[in-house]
Amino acid sequence: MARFPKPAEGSWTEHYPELGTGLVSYADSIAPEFFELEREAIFKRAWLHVGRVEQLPRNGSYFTREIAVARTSVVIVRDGDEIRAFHNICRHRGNKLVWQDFPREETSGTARQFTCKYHGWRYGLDGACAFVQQEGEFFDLDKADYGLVPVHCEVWAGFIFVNLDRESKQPLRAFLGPMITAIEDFPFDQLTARYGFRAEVPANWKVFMDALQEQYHAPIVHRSQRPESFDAHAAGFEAPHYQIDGPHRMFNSPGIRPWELPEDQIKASEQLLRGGLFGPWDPPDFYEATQIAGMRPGGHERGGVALFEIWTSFGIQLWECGW
Amino acid sequence: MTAAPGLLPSEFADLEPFAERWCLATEGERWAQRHASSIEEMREFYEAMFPRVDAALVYCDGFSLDDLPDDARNLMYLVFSFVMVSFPVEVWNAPRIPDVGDANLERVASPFI
Repeated sequence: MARFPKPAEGSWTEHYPELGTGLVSYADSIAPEFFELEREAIFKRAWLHVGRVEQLPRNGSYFTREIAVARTSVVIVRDGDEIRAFHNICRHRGNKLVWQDFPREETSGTARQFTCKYHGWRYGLDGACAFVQQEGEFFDLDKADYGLVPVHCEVWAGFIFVNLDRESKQPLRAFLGPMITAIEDFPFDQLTARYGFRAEVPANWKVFMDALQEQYHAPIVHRSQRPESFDAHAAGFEAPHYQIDGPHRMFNSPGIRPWELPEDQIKASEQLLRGGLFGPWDPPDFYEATQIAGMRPGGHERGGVALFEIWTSFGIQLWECGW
Repeated sequence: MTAAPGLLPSEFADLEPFAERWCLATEGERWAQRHASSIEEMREFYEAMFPRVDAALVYCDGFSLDDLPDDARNLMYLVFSFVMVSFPVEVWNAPRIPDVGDANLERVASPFI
């Protein structure tokens, strides 16, 4: 028996008729030529999530991002109240500007200005070319023409996005649209314990993003991650709600509350530590602030996890327990 | 003759046999140690730690993170290693996750500790 009601059309796929019900080819995830097109058509034009404002606590705080898919490097810096992004390249002869020891690795720090390690040209936090060594040896050089090339940079809910497209684009908030902006009041800035993980996954980016948005694999791939008795409980996978809005998508998972499960369905260490794969059982002290309507757009009661995937490749998971 | 001081607070001397192997400061080291250990070694450690984890957390909570003495810090690392071995012991019955090959997840950022 189905655990959750389906939409009137019969299935979530049919609820969004623009998806169609025909077969979907995955040639777009294995053809190298297609990926080269994606680099140009998508990643050099889309809003790309690069970090959070907490990474830039002070005037002059900066970090660099190596955006391999676009074959470029960007430096993001706080200039007073503004957060700016520039192509990480000196305007003189194209040497990489901001780097430390290993030019291809990302770096971060605080600076009053950026100095090229090659000939000493300097740039302010606003990108203006502030100093050219032996300026008088140049002919008709106007430093004002040689500021760092800016990259569109906007902040939403504390998340920093850049857009490599030269022309002015749809503003970030308009791009995100109502389904995504409905979660902007989540207290992201109160989640101050930040962990970062890195893995290289030999798959097209779309395959990776799909894996998180579909849960069809969950009872199979994740089967042995739980005690055996749990599987009898979760035959197949159903979810209360799926939604798309433009290029973005989200779903709510069933509301499994680990602390409500019988003992034989939870790992012993999880009971001991009152926390596990899905985070601590005890809610944060700002729990009430986390229970925003936007994380349950279908309006049902128990949320489990709400996963939002912002095009192209930024996922935000909001857990019912407040993390 | 005085005994050499252990890595752990004296009231956790019962866990000292595991200290040198499992008091590891970074997740990378604990991950590597998991893969360098047999399931029997990890299970022995797990079973010795399990009844002591509550007391270890209470002990460590007596200090602020900025002010952890070395022996309490080692005890904290021991608890982290307990978490690291819990999956192999409770789920996989092996150090490695099945079918994972050489896939690797590296922790590149963490808060204070």
